[in-house]
Amino acid sequence: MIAQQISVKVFAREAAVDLSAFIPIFHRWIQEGRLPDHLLIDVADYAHVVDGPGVVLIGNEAHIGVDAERGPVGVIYNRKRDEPGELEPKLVEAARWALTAAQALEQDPAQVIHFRGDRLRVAIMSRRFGAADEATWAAARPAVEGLAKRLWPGAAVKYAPRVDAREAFAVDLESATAATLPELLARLG
Amino acid sequence: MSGSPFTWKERLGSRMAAPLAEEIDAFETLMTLRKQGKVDEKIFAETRLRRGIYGQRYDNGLRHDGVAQRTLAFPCGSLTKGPETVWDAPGMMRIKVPAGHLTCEQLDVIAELAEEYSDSILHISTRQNVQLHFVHIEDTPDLMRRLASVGITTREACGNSVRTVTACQFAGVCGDQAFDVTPYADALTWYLLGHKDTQDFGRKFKIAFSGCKPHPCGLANFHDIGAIAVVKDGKRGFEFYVGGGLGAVPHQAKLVEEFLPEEELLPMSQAVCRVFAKLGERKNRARARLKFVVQKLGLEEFRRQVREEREKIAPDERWTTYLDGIESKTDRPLRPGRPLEGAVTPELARFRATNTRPQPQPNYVVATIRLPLGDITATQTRQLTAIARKYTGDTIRLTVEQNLVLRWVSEADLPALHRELSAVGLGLADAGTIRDITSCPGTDTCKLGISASRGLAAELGHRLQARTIDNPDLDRLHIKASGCFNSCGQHHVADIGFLGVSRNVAGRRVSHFQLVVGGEWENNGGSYGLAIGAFPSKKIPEVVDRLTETWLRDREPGERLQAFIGRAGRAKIKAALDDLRHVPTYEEDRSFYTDWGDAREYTTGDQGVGECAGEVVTATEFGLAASEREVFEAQLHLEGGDANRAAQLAYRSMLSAARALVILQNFDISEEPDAIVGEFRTRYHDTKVFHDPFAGAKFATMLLHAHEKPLQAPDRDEAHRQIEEAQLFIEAAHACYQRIAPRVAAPAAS
Repeated sequence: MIAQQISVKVFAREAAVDLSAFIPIFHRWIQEGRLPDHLLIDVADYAHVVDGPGVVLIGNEAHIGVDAERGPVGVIYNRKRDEPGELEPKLVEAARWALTAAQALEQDPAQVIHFRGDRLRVAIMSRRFGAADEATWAAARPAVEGLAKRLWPGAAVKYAPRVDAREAFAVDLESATAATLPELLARLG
Repeated sequence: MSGSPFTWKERLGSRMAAPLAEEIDAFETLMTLRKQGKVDEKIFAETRLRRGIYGQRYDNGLRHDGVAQRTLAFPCGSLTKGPETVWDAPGMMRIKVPAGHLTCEQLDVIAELAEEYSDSILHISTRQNVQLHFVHIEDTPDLMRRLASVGITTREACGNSVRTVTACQFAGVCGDQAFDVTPYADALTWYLLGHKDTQDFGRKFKIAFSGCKPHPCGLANFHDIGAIAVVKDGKRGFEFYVGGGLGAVPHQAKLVEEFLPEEELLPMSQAVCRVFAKLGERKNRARARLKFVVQKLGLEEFRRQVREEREKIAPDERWTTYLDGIESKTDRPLRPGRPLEGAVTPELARFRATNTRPQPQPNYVVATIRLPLGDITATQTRQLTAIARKYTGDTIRLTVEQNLVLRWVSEADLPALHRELSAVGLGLADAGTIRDITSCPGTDTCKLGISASRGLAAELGHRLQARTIDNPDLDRLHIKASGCFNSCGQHHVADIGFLGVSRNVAGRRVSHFQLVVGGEWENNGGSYGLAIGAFPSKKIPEVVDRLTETWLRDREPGERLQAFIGRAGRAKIKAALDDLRHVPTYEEDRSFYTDWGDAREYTTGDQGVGECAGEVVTATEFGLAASEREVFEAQLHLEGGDANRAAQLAYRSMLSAARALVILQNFDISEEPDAIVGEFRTRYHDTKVFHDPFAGAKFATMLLHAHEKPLQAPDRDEAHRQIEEAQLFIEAAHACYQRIAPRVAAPAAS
């Protein structure tokens, strides 16, 4: 199974945010080269689309967005270029970048968004991995659980996989214990 | 799908039509050759454009970040996919949707592609295409394969080719139509796709169909070919218009045939293409459209030339085979038509009033799904197809106003349909009203963009949505915005149009828009507006307010905006708006120095060379490039142990190179090997034109010999030799072309 185009979403504590606030933030990230190892290119504004991708920071390796698609609001890291290796390390890497972006947004002077430390959404957008069905979940589960163990060691974690064969695979993770973003990042190493 | 790894090529092999699959494989090979430096970047650029792979802003590797222009350090280094176009830079994939119709299955696949290769947004263009932005070129072969698996080709979506053939979205379900133009648009699409008479244009070529004259859905008046359905003495045909176009300076199409019988549609269109290929300008890109040929010749001479070409065209059964049973070739309802019953909510009432249009078939309507700025998410797309499968089936069409329609909606289903659409964010009313603003991508993604047309359209839409508009004449206005003078937003035919420009204010650049008024959307884009002044971008909402207030206050009873402007005079309108041209100083209000939806200080430094003009690549250059690709593929087969296939491809590559030269003198040469070799022998070998200055007839003989004595079950060595000879022959063909090309006129159709 080819696991590419990994996506991780970190959920916000706010129910809604002013998406326009992220346009200057993301432009500033481009000026500053805010995400190491990522070529940041441009900012795409889709705030006019209901439940759309919101505001997207377009990068060569990945896109980073603040969106409310399929609720709730959060920051999403969407890997675009293929990378080698097994699924679990890729999930960890994507989670690391999603949390890094979340931390950067949380620390931004604009103070427009803050994030939960107990919920994530993981998706594998490449249909070559599989659609959102039981078989794909069974194949992905060990790697997803591996990620969860690193993020929330010893905690009970609930998994809510998407089950719709028309969709890309995705699963929501919810831990019984929360952590701060720095803690989560430290656990990922 | 879970299980063993697979490639899309393997998985979809049997589901793609063989010609589509081969074309995609050929393009993928060309990508490999380009990365090896074996294909000229100009040829590669035009090839990828003709596969619908378009450049985007910043793909020259430079971007102004609001402080300074920066180099975007793409990993590919100096590798390019065209002149000044960096290989790794994100591009746009244009997906042709002939006549705007898509099945649910096709839309589901496009939704997947948007998620995997783009930013999860499907963008509907002003020519009924779907565009995916921020696509990496390495993803395009698989993207094309997945489209091909559901019968979609992106071939000739861009570049100097026949673009998407558009047709009104109500074709077949319109009470005013002469007849359903959809099968005619489809037939012309597939007839001209890849046709030899459409491969040597100096510029793009656009065709539109309308089922009737008065309504604007088809916009036949501003296309290179516009066909309006008419019935005369019980016979179907078309009013046949040519030479229309918007661009910087719009031209109305001219009526070249008052009644073109249906069986003449394909050959006459082909004849127009032949005239364009023969006489179209190639050096001056700004004057290379068909409209300039018509203007230069005059209509009478143009008509004469077209009719002359028509007589030369060999009959083709495809001109009429599609007409068999054509009246039955229309989409059908999924559910029985029943009247609407029960209470209607205010929201449904508004939706019904603005977004539905009765069909002549009783109890059916066409429902328009309004998409702000033409955008719909991948998730929404799947939700829409689920709704369509339930209520209407495969009746979805895209519109030139960047919306979607569902046809054959039973009136009785409207409440449930509207509820379900609203639940997924697709139930917006006000389609076709002043709130439904059309815009080109502008500075968001287009290299030619000067101002943020999308940002402006979003801002205007947002403000108008918040207003109560109870004047029906105001409600009916059309606002359109283009990011530059090239009018992809069709501002010329808007009641209130805007085109992006830039002004220098005390040494700083400030985004502006020219206000264009007097356009006519009705009557198939009946007339064009004129600009009356440039206003700072941040003042445009006030301009709209002031203009409409002036009109509503000073007009005669019932007077439409266009008539009011004609009567009041542009000078008066301009005077009424003059104070809005003022730009505060930078210190007074910095917001004027950024554009809508963009936090950076405004600059025009990111404008680049547009690819809508494509590259002028001759048919010979394309043919020689094809021969290079084929001989490369021969090597791959040899490496893979298939000597027979390798030898066959090597021979075919020689034929391709030979044909590329023959078409300089005989554009109509067939693909038959005997014909090609015969013509090559006569025109190039016997005349010694092909002779190498030092090696004489050596290389020409390689082709003649390969043709006269084809290899039978060659071993590896024999195949290897054939490949070597093919490479030498191709090099000799290049050298021959370089010797003779300055003296050769544009290919002439015989």
